[in-house]
Amino acid sequence: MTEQYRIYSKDAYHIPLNKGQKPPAELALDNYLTVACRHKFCLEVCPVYQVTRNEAHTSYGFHTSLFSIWEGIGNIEELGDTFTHCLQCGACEVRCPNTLFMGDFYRVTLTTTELVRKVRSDLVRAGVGFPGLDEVKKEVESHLQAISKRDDLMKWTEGLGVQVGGRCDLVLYVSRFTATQATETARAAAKLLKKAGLNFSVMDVPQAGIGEALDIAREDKFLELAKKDMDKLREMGTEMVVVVDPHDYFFFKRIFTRIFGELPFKVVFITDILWQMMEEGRLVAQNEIHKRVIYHDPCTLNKLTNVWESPRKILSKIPGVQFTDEHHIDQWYYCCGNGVSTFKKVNPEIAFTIGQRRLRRALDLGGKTLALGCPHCWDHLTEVKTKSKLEIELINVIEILAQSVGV
Amino acid sequence: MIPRYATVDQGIVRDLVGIVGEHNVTTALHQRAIRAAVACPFPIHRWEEHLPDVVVLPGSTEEVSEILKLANRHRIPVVPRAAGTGLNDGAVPLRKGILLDIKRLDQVLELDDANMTVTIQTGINNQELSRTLKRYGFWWPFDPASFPVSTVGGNIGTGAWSLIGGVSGHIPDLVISMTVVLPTGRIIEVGESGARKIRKSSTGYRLKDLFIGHQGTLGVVTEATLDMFPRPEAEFPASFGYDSFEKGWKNLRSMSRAFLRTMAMAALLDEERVECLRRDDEAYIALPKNVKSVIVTVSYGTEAEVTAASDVLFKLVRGGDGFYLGEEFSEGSWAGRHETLQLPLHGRTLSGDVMPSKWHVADAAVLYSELPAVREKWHSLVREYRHKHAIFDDGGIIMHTNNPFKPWGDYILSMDLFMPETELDDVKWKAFLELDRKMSEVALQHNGSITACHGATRPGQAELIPIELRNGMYDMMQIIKRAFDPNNIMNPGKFGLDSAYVEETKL
Repeated sequence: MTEQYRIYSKDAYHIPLNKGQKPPAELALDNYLTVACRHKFCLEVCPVYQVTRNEAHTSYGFHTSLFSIWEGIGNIEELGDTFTHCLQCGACEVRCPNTLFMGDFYRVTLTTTELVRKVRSDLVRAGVGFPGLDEVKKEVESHLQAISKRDDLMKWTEGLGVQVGGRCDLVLYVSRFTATQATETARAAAKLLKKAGLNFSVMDVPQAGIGEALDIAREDKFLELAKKDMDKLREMGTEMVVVVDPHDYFFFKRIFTRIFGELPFKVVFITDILWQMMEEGRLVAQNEIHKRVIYHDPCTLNKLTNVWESPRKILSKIPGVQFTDEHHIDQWYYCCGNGVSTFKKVNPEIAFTIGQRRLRRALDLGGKTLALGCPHCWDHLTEVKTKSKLEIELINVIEILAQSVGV
Repeated sequence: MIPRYATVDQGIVRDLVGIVGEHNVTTALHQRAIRAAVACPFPIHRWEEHLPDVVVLPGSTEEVSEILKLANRHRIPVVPRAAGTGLNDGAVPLRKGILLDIKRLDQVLELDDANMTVTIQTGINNQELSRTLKRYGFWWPFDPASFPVSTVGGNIGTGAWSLIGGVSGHIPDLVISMTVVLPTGRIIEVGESGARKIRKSSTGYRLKDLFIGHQGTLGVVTEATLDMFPRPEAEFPASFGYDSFEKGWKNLRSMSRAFLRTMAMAALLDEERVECLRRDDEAYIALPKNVKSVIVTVSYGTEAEVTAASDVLFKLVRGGDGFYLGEEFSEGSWAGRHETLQLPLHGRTLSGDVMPSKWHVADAAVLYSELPAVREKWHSLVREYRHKHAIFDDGGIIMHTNNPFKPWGDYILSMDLFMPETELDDVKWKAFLELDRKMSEVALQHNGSITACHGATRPGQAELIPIELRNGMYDMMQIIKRAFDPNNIMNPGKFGLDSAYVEETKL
């Protein structure tokens, strides 16, 4: 399956690692460009390394591990623990001088998040596995069960008076996690689009949205679900998909495009279109919201898809909000701790520490509210807040906007 | 007699787990391989010989002490490692043993606002320390090329140099006192005096300096009290072009003599360096074709000081037939100073193809008067070895001010040399060491020093230490090493100090 479709951007990543065999030479060269890098900026920018201080848990460590196996030192049986210590947040990729200064020129952009997915899956295929694998498998199974229950998944639309399914140019894409775990965020998104006078349809039971499948050698399942969504969006005659979950946005922009080529519709993140509506005067933030707000950049937006402006612009325009902006590049060093797929299930203690540090940073800046752009950040930080007893409100940006607009 | 070392067996690993906990001990092969590799050219074809037996990540001074007591008792080599950005193989184990990774020691312990000191654990990263101090209105004025990743402890271990040392000094000038765990496990404090925060004292010997640049051969520095600075009002980078190296070199002298207290750094790039910059990378900001040499400067101070000083500087440059390279180049190259160099695809084969390489950076300390002669000889040596072995590439030379607080006198003659490690074998590695040694010999012939800040710990350069320090200093080093480390457990083999154990040195 991985050979038929381009799951990864580099050819060498499609050749699986096997026990007792050298990694392919093409992979060794890719690894060497990180091994040979004198900068090692991938260390301090990594939220996991900031906690464990173990350089094996960094892009440098991953690449050097594999390169050492190529050089005859080490074996893939020992890689599991190391390769589960990655949030897949993309900080190392954006901070890497190879990406910044040679990426386009030589086509050597750092792709550690893909490498980590590949190695985890290869370990599963080779029968080696990794710590926490069973938990991750359960998560995938749980997603597959959930998407078979339409009533539960679409319950969030009740009473909104919005079109669900059917043909429409504009489609609101709310996948399983947001639909079931962050219902208020989903509802706020729909209400705001409606208030702006946009004619849209909510996609009827999106299937995808389970990145964990790519970590456990279930690329076939990821592709099957992605294909179903693509087919349905084509059937709907979609010209623009508005995505509420940043993880889904990342899948569309970075993975679906690689698998399916250029998509037949535009993919827009929810805050981008809401800000456009505000600029056009179709949404007016009128109610004063008295909050001292810090904004937390979700990794899937800030580091992996370069969306960071619109949430800040929205918060800056809401009357009553005292907004302290932490620069989005400073936030390359941050994460909520959840990770893009597997991390929290395997490393709950580190995930907690990273989240706790994030909340403390917001409190140190005088924030009383941490505005979020991602339901996964909200879910994880809510757990961290409860366990750590830190006093801070956690709320999605679009919910704050909905309050101010009055919907 | 050179002591015989014990093997790290399961019992030792269990003892280490008892000291630091299970999560902080590993014997996984790839984890050990990572800790044997460093940022500079390294004998990858002999990687296995450099693997430590076990990697340990202690979390406190007391844990370090317990580890060293254990190692000393069993005679097990210990190699301290920080971020692994050293440029002379200082952290590469030569005798296996315990790799003691200090990066979990990363806390700020105290910030003394009134007396302007900060006390840290030495595994803290420089940029992180800088960010912390910035929040309180202070400046950590230490700026090595490895600033975003290196740790203060690693910098202490190598005796590191700062780009902006002209205004704020280098690591030896910024460390006030330290907590050191000796090879026997004893924890001591060393400083200018017995007082942790006093910067100048005449009480007793200046022992602090023993633990700066010791490359882990005398113990492990776990905590340090540092001098912090007020944040400067103005930072002003300015770069100037010349149509020949000679004009740049002469103008460098005029800049030194202007006695501008704001001048943190002046760095002269030679023709080969400018050509290297022009090669390919996206970070390169185009320079006019007539530019053959460049001086990069940066000034710090109050607005009034920097403005007045820049008037003097620009006048000197015009008088030296140089010209300002503009805001984009000056600010861009300064802002990207930690990022744009040392990319692994800058090296070229003889036929001009891209050669994935690591960068060797030679860093002799050379007097101003000798810069042109040493430069010529170094380029000539590299040409010779490049044609003979086809694996080296000359990335040019930068001459940075090296004198702390004073931008004159001696300079780091820093040559970038590309080398593809993946093509190494014994013959090529030997050729590299030979080239490195010959370059160092040139520095010594011109009354310079082998290394300004990287440490002469790689075989080749290390052979020359007894020659550079021939008038009694190397004898003293041997005596000190043997007195501090009777079983030669700390980073054994470095600086050629096994010789201290062959027979007792007497003065």
